[in-house]
Amino acid sequence: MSNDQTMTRRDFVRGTVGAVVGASALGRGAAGEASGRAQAAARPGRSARVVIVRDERALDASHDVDTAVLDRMLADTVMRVTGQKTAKAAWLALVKPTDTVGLVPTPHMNPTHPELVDAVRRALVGVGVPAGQIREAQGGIDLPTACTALIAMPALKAHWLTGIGTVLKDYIMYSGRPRNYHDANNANLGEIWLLPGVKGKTRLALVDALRPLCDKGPQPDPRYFWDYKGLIASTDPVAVDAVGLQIIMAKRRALRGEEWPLSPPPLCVSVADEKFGLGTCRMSEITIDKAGWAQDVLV
Amino acid sequence: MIGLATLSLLAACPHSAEGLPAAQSPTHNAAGSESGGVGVDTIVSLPRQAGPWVRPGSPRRITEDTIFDYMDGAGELYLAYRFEHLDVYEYTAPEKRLGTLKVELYWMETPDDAFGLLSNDWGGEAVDLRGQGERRDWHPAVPPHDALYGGGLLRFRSQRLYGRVMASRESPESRTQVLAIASSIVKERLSNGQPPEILSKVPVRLGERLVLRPDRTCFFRSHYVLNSVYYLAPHDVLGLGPAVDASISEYRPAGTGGTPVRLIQALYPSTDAAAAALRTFLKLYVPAPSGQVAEKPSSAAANAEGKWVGWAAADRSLAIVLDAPGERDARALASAALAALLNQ
Repeated sequence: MSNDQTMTRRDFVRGTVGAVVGASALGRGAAGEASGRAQAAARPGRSARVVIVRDERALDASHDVDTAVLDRMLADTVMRVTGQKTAKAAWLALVKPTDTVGLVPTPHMNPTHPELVDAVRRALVGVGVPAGQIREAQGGIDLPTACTALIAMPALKAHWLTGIGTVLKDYIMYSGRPRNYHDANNANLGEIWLLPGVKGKTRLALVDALRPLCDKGPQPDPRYFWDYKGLIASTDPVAVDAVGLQIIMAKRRALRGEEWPLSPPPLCVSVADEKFGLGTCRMSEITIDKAGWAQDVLV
Repeated sequence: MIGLATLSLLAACPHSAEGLPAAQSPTHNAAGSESGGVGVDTIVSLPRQAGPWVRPGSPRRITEDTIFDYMDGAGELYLAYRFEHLDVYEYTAPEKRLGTLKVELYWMETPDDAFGLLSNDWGGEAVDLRGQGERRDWHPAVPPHDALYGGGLLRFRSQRLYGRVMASRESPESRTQVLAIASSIVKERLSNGQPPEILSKVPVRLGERLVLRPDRTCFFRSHYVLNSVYYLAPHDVLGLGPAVDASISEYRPAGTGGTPVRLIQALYPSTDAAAAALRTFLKLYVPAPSGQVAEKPSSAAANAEGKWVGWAAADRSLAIVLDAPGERDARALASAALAALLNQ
C-alpha cells in the first residue's frame, strides 16, 4: 500500500490495512483472516474500554422507546465508562458545569432517537450544566467552535458510501465539504476530529444502538433495521466504531447465512488509529464491558 | 410473489386519482437505443387517500441541487444513475400510532437507470403490481421482478420511474395500502421493457464450473455503485460515467463452498474510452513488478494474491473477471463475456 489514496482490494487481501477493516471488507474467510493476523497484536500501552448496555424493555413491539428504561441505561453506561459509582459523578467526570456542551446526534434519514438526546440533556442539567449551555451541535464548523465539550451521539449504521457511518463520520458536516469524504476517501474522516474547533473536545462517544441499520444507510430500508436495544459508549471514538463494526458484521452474517462484507470498506476506522491517532481500532486492545440483555449481543 | 389480484386494490383506494405531470426528455444509452419519449412516460396516478392515510395536494420537489439536503450521502446513489428529480409525498393518518406512508418518485433519464436502482438489491418479496404474472421472455441474468417488498418498504420500477413507498410502521393495513398506492402508480403506465441490453450479454454459466447467481447482478454507471457492491479501488479506475453501461455479476463454483467469482462487463461510448479504461485498470490493479515496463495484452490473466484476475477488451467492450480460482477460469470467463458483448 503506497498510501491511503490507493488502497485497492488487493491491499486488503495482502493484509496491508488494519485487521478490523480487512475483515469487514473481505469477510472471515482465509483472506480476511490473513489480513487480521497481520495487525491483530496489541501494542504496548494501548488500550480502550467500550461499554455496551442493553435492556430488552428499551423498545416496545412498535419500536417506541421506553424513556424510563433508557434513562437507566444511560446512567449505567456513563458509570461504566468512567468507573464512577453514581451517574452524577460519572457525568461530572466527563463535563464541568461551566462547559458549553454540544450534543452531536445523527440528523434526519435515520436519526439518533430524540429520546436519547433528551435523556442526555436532562442528565446534564441534572448535574448542574445550565440548559442554555447545552446545544445541538450537528452542522457547520461554527457549532463546535462555540462549545467547550462535545458528545458524539450518532446512531449505529452501515453506510453505502463509507462502510460505516457512525462515530467517526458524525462530524463530517464540520468539514464543510462532506462529499470529499465519500467512498474510499472515508479514510480521512479522522482529520475532521483534528480541526481547531473540534480537536480535544469530545468527552464521550455515545452510540445509539437501540435500532441499528446494517445495510443501505443512510437511506432507511426497514429490512436492515433490527432491535438491538443497546447503548455503546467509550471515551475512545475509534474503539467504539471498531466494536460497532463487529456488531454490524455479525448481523449481516446472520441475515444472509454467509459472509456479507461491507462495501466500500470502512477505512476510516483503521486510519483514525494509525494515521490520526484518535484511538485504537484493534480488538486486541479493546476491553468490552457488557451489561444487561445478553441475547444476540453479537460481539 | 405477491399477486395483487387478491388485494382488492381499487376497493382500498376509493378516492379519485390525480394525474401528476413530470418532466420528460428522451435520451440515448450507450447501446444507442432510444428510451422513453415525450408523452409516453410523464404521468402517475396517486390516490388522494389510502385507507386512513391522506396525502397532501402537491409533492415536495427534490432536485439535483437539493438532494443532499434531503438525504445526505444517499443522494450520490441517484446521481450515479442520471437522476432528473424526486417527488415526495407523505401520507398521514389521524392516529399517530398508524405512522406515515412516504412515497418517493425518482424520475430518471431512462428506464435503464430506474432498473439499475432496483438492481442494487434483489432481496425482498417479489410483487406483481400489474397482475400480469411472471414474465417468460426474461433474460436469466437477473430476476424477473419489477417490484420488491420487505419490512414495510416497496421498491419498484416503472419505465424511467423508480419508486419507494414506505410505511413508517408496518402493519397488515399499511402493507395493503403501500401495495395499493404502488399499483395505482404503475397501472396506467406502460409495461416495463427488457432490462438494460448489456445484461443480455451476461454468461449464465461457465461450463460446469461456475454458475451465475441472478440475484446478485447489478447494473451500474458509477464507481460509487460498483464499490458498494464490490470494492475494487478507491477511485474510478474503469472510466465509468453516465454514458457507460456496466454490470457486475456473481458466480458460485458448482458444488459446495468456494469463493464467489465476479464478472464486470462494460460498454463504452467509444473504442478509445474502453482502451483507456483497461489501461487504467491494469496500471493500478495489475501493476508490473517494480522496475519493469508493463506490457499487457488486451486479453490475459494474472495471479492476484492466490486468486486470478482475467480481462478481455475489444472495440467498445471490456470484461474483467475477479477472484477466479484459476487462470483457466479467469481467461475463459473473460473471453466468453467479451464475445457476448461483441455479438451485438
